[in-house]
Amino acid sequence: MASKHKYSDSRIAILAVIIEIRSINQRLSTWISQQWFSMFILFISLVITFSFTLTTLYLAKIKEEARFESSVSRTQRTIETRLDTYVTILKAEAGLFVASDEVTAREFYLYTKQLELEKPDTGIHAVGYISAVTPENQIQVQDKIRQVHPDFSFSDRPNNTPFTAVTYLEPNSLTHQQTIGTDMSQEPIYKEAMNQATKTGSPVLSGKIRFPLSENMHQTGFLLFIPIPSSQDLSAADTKPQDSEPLGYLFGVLVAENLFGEILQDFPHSDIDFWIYDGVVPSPENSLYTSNNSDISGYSKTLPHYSATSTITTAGRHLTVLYITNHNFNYSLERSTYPYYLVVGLVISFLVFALSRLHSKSVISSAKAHAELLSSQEALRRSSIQYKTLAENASDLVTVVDALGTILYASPSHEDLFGITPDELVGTSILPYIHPDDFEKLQEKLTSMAEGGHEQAIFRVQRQGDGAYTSLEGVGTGLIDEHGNVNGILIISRDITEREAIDRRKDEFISIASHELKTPVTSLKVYTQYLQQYFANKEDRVSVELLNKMDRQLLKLTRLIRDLLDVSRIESGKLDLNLTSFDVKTVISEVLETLALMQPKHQVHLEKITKTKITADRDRIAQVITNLVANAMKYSSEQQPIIISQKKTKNTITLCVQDFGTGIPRSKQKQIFERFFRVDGPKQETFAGFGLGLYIAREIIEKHHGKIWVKSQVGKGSTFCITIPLQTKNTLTST
Amino acid sequence: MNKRRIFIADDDDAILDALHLILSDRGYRVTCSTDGREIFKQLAHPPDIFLLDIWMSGVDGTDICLALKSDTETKNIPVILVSAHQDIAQIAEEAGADGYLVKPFEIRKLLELLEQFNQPILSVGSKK
Repeated sequence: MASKHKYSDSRIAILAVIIEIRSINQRLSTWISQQWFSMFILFISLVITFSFTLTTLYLAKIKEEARFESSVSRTQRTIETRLDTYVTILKAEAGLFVASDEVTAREFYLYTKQLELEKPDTGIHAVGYISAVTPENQIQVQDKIRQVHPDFSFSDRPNNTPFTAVTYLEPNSLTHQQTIGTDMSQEPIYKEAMNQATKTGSPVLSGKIRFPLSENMHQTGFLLFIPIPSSQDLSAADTKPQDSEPLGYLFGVLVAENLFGEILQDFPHSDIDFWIYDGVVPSPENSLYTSNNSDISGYSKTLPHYSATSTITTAGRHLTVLYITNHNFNYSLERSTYPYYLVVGLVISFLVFALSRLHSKSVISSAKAHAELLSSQEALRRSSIQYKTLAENASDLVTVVDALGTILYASPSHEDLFGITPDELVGTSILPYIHPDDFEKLQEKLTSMAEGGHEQAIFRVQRQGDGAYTSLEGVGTGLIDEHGNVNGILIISRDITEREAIDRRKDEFISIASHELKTPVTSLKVYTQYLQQYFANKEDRVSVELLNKMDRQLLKLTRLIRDLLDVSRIESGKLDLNLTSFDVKTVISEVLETLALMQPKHQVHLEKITKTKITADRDRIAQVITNLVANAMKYSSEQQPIIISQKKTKNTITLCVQDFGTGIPRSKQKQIFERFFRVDGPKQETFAGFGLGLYIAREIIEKHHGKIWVKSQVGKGSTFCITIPLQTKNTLTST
Repeated sequence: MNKRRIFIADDDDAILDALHLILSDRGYRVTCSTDGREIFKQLAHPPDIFLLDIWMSGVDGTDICLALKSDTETKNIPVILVSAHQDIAQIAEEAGADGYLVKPFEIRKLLELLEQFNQPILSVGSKK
């Protein structure tokens, strides 16, 4: 039991999960079907697209920055190394002077030669020695200079003030020779550097200078001053700054172009350009060197340029270096591909949007279709229940058969007639129940209905109990499915045995009534007419006139009886035509003759009435004409004429009866052909009736496949017309 | 001049009486019967014309007409069928009658019809 419980618990849990999933699914569908969902999708995909693009760009930037920084630091190192190298070289040469007080011109020359200053890529343009000249060593210095320039003299210098003098300068070019003996400290830039070098005891770079290379050429660069301490100073402390004036200064002329240009040779495809400025302010007047001869502003603006500024401090001088990426800079692949990412992302976003839009629409429409389907299924279910209930409770026989007459469905009412339950009937054929004379008719009808036709017929079927035949009136139709195929024949039939018996009794009654009513009228007429003859012979005019009136009343009575019987026949569909060939003109004459007996004062004119042979029911056509003319007489005064006219076409004849009497309102023109309808008028008393004349006339004319109509205007009169075929074919069967 | 003999069968006494009156007045020798079968008793001396109601008790006028028309002795004697029946024209034709009248009829029409059949009978008679 416990395990059973457990099982059902887990089942419940699974069911709960399934229900939950379904509900989520349903909610999801509801969301998806919302209009905003596709907008949401678009928003999300756009966000993803832009984020991805921006991330790509950001990554590219990071990579490029790293690359730039690497180039910057490499370049910076190179610059620093190069500067340090020259400082070291010059310091080494300074060592020459430190080691020996008396460095000869020759020794200076030889040492300097090792530096190969004449090579174009050497950053050091020249190396020189400046002696600090005091009154005491003035002669010595002069002698040193005279080793190379024998004519040199300090004669123009003041004797009692110390000064400096360029003592040696290599290479010994013509321009350089002019510099020999000059007091460098007269130049503020050099003086500042020399003072600082004296103060610190270390190599000091001067500020930016322009110096002549030749007569026409100037170069930008700076001088590196290395103080040469006196021997006493050296012995005191090697590294401490000296308080006393140094022995002199070794100086190197550094040409920025050569010094820094060599860096480019190390990196021929450097991806950055750099500008070196003297001091900490990167202004054009401070510019020392430009790796690329272009201006910063000339750079392309389509790609980002990374720039950085750094300060190099070497030999007591600050140099500012500005770095900017150049066309060699290797931008990240992402930078060139991100527009594609963006475009592709946008395209995908809008595609997804369109798809989700389509989907949401299809979800909506399918939901609608589903709802419609459900409602139509429900309607179908309801209607089938209704129909089934209808069939199950119908007193009529509801039968569904196939084209061969096999019963597919039989309503319960079959049991009353055949004594067999519907279940027993299903699967059997209806043919054994049908009267043999009706077989052929039934087969024809089944074939027609199996092709989708609609049929109506009366069949005799054999009752199961006494074996007697019962008449069934059935209507049937092919049952057409949604593919247009007939998948059964529905027949609804009714036992009309009783109705037939009633019809028979009614017919008998009509027959008897017509006989029994007409018989006394007949004898009355004969008596009347005998009396008329009798009194005419005796010339008793009063009696003759009275008998005439009596005869007219008898005629009226005869017509009333006939009308009633006709209505009865029409109602039971027994108004049959007795077709003969006759002349219309003769019939009209006869009708007028008879009517003249009743209404002798009315004037009837015939217009274009010619002898016309037609095939129709002579008596019935006469009856119609009688009714129309009698009506014309009834609704007009005796002074107003009545016109009967005729029109003939190839196949039809039209007769019109026109009066100039009261007329019929338009609203009542349709009703006048209905049973027991009468137009009220002042003359209604003159020809009383049941209001059946036009109804019977219409029925007779329609039986002849003709038509009857009226044109009328109140106060001006009416025109009744009938059109019938010249040859009426009797398509109606008599019973 | 021999009076023409007319045999009238109708189950309504009044009609027989009235017709007897009016036709006798017109010079006919009228024999009336409410029973159609009376005709066959009188065939030894057949009348010149029969006026038969269709619907009678006992025997139907149509049947009498058919019998008369199938007998060579009587087939040439004109038979006029009379009825209130609407379809009398058709019934008369089927029964082989020589004429018909719809009840109620005008005496004028009866006399015209009888007049119509007088001529050939007379000529036959003159041959005799």
